[in-house]
Amino acid sequence: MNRSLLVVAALTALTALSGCQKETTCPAGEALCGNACLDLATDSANCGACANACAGGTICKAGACACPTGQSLCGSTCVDLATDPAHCGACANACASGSVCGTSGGATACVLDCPAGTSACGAACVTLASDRLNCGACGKGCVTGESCLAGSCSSLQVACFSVNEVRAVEPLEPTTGAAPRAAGVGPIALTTLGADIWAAASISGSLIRLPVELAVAPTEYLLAGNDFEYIATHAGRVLISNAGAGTVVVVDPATGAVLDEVPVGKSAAENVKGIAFATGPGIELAFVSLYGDSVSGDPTIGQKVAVLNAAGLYTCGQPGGPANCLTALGSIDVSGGADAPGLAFPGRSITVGGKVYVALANLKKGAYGYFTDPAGPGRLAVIDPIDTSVSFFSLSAACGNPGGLAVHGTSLWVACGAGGLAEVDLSGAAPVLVAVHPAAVTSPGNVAFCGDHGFVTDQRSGDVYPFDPVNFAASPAAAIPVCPSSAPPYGYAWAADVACASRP
Amino acid sequence: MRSKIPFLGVLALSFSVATTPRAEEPPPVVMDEQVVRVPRTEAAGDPTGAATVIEASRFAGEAKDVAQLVATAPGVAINDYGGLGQLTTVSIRGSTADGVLVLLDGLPLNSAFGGAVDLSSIPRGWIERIEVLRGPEGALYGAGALGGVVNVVTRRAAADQWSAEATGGSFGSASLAADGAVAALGGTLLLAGSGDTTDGRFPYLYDPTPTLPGDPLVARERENGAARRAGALAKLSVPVLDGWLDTVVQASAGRRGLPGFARNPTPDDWQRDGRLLVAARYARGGPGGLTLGGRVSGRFDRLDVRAGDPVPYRQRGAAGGAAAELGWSHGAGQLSAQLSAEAETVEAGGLPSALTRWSTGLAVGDDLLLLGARLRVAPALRFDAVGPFSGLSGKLGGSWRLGDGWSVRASAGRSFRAPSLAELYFQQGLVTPNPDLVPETGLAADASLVADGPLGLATLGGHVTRYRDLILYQPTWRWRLQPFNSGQALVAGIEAELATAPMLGLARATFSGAYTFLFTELLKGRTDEVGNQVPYRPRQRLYARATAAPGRFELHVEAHYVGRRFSDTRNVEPIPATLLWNAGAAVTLYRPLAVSLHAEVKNLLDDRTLTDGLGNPLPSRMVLLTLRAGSSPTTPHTEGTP
Repeated sequence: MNRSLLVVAALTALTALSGCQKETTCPAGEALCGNACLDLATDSANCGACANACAGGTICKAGACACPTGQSLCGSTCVDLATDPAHCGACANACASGSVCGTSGGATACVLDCPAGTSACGAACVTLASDRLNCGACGKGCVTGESCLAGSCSSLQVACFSVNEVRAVEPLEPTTGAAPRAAGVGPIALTTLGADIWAAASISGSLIRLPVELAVAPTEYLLAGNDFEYIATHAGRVLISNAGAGTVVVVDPATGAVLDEVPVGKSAAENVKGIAFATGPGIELAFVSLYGDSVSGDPTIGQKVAVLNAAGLYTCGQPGGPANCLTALGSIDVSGGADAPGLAFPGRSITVGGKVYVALANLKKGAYGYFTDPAGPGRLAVIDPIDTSVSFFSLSAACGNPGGLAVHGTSLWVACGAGGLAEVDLSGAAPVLVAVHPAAVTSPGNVAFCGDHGFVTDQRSGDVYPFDPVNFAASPAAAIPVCPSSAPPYGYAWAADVACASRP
Repeated sequence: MRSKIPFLGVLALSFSVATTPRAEEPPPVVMDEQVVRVPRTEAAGDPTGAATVIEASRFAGEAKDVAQLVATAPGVAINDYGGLGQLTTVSIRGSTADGVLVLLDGLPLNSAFGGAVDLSSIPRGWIERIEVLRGPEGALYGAGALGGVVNVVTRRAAADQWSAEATGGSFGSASLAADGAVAALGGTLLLAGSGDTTDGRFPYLYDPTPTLPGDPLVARERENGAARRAGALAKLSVPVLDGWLDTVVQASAGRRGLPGFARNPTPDDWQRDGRLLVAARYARGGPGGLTLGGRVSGRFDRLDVRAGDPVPYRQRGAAGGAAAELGWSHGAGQLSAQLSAEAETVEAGGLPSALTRWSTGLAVGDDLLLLGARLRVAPALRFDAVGPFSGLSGKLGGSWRLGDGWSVRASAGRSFRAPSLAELYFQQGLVTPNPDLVPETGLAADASLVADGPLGLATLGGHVTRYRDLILYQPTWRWRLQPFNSGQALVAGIEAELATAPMLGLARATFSGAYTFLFTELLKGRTDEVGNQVPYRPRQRLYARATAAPGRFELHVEAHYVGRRFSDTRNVEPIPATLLWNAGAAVTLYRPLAVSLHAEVKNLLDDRTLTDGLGNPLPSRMVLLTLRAGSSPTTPHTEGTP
């Protein structure tokens, strides 16, 4: 009995000792409210302090509740004085029955008919293409984190690698954003498909579905991936570069189930990166960049673009469909796009006008023995899907280590990792380098467009630089911080990818 | 007459055979074909600590290396990075592998440069026994013993004793080991040598499409896994000026291929290492119960690694130290004191110049026998200065004999580990040092109940440890890593051991086992991390072994169960539990020379999907044949209590 008591007493003492305080770390600038890290400067439900919710249509700006841009506070409610029939042009200036509130030539008044170019939503005359309270249709309002662009509520989605979030900011006012959403560990690449944004999380090897409705919680699919690097969509499927395994993973977006996983290259050292597709008469191909090994610099590893038959993507996983979604056909050697002693290192890719453009980093060994320094001008490998021939296009010495690619109109925009933003005109028979524009970020990473608004991420911070693709000189002078640093003191920020999402 | 002093610190263990033979020898019972030794739970360096002493003779002929022997103890977790001569480390009670002090004859193998000690670098042919001490042992073994201590004790120098062993088997594995001792200079000289080799080409099943569930695995063969190692050991113990001079020289060197990840093989990578340890200690008794001792030691390390970069990375290290010891047998017990100093210098690629660090230690402890020797109380305090870092380690241990073979023991202690030179100053590739690091600390308490009687031995204990300021490598920009004192963790658990005496008449069956329940909790981290289990720490682990020894034969079967654990701090990526079976048989062929033949089958069920924590394949079924001979009845063995 005594012995049993001794054991029980000892274990009880040990249990009592185990009551230790826990310390939750939050990203820089965020505070712990309950069990969640929140940005009190922008969180409308916790504005300036935990549980301090903004009311009356106000949103949280710089830690204080304020009306969204373009609205004014009348009493305790935010209204659009330009369209609100109860506050037409001024607070409490109500329009009489039968009249509408419209704005023309900068003047707002109660009128009998809406001015030209505006539509009546009740007694409010609105521009459906840009009105955030009636975006595209009467009563369809945009929420915080969205701007009304061309009649769609659009958000700029930014993958914040170090804090494991995807953040949505307003394209027209990127300093205003919605509450961040969790995205596995190390979200590194984004794409959109239907009503969802899809994020590939590199470290957790997971796939995250984030509905375009910003208030809806994301769904994470744990795929046991090894170093996801890129994500793309085609034929209604989601495809991920699983670099750690040297494969491309094909996912059914309806269920999150893996339909196929296709080895590409000799081993994982080939380092699968960007994926692009080419379709046309008799052509249904996928082009997968095999970056290579930036440690050993073995020229026989990577430095290729694998070519796969993508015809099976449409029906694989369905009854009677093919066993494989993708089948390997061969590869295209792009090592000619490098300057000795550098290697080409093909990365992200895009298809424009029937041609596949692949960014070639063209790097040589730099600090600490890794291939990090430009060996010459960044280049594009231009692949003709018809015969898989390849040519190389120089982005000039001003554009070193090119990375992300995006198209606006007939222009291809390339993020130059060594600094700058290259604009390439693709309207002619051959690409023409228009300019390498300065970008107010240290190391441009990836590019996206929301309408006529361009955005490029910084690989060395959480900043996103908004630019004007039509008139670059009119671009803002400074970048905007979007992704916070992970918990101090070792925190860092990385805006890893960017994409534009529009709510139907 | 030789002095008999339980010394504080590493020296007590360094030459324990020469100085405290009776205190450390388990009582042997010689049977027809067997020497049966009591599995002990008491280590010489810390008699009241939570310890398991693993006698290598219990597993003679089974080709077990240091890690496989350590794995038979509770409270430990072996981190096996590929098996068959590849990197193998140990953590104790949830600690990092860096937080375990690994000693070879009491001399630390952990270098100032840092990194966990590779257990595979210790030739198995040398091993006499391994003492596994669980919990912060800094007060008795010096700074660094945050999670515990593994002390590998090499063969005893006993005149006219010899043994030899040859092993061969699967995957081109072979080894030779021999040792012999002769009387010399009024004392004893032991010489031992060993060599091991394996081609490491074992078959395994590979999943080329890890995200696709249910698809068939692909048969592959591990390449570039060859490993070779050789070692030599000399120990001389001679009387000098009314005292004893013990000297030891240990040398080992090895080369192994670094096969890389299964999904990303590295056929051109390799590693070469070498180590030389030299030590001498002198001890003599004095008047009034005083004993005096002193020692000098030196160590040389070399390491060349070709990993990716065709230019190998080189590391060279050298250390020299001295210590003075004082013991006093007073009426109630024995008081011990030790003063030590050591300098260590390291050269490595990535360091602009050689780094040198001084360490000094001052330790005082007592071992009190009270209440008619039923109560043993052992307070100990040690001050360590390691480079610019200094701190106190303390421990209070006690044991109480309740009678009828029952006893309880308990201890509480605190220790610290100074940041290594690598963590402070070493820039390699994407790994960046952090000169602002501070020591990590551990505060722990444990208690256990011991039953030791004619039926066998059983222990049951619980422990709790609070780790603070753990040094963890954190990403600071994309894939760049830098160490920070960012870890806080709580570890608690239950450890149980059982060993029966020979039973069932002529079958002379025995059973032994070790069970570990480990609760770990992250106390600092993101919202999705705090409160979760510490990655790679299985909650449960079981080792069980059954033997029978009818006549000239010996049969045994073992099971290793390692419970599910997580590979990530969010605890969403589980590593499945594994169960591994080993079995073996032995027969004595010629009694006068104790010639015996052993057959050992590892991974009996030929599970080719076994992987380490990083997903690398572990060896499939392996058959080894061993022929042994010796001057004493060394085989077959079984375990139990008389």
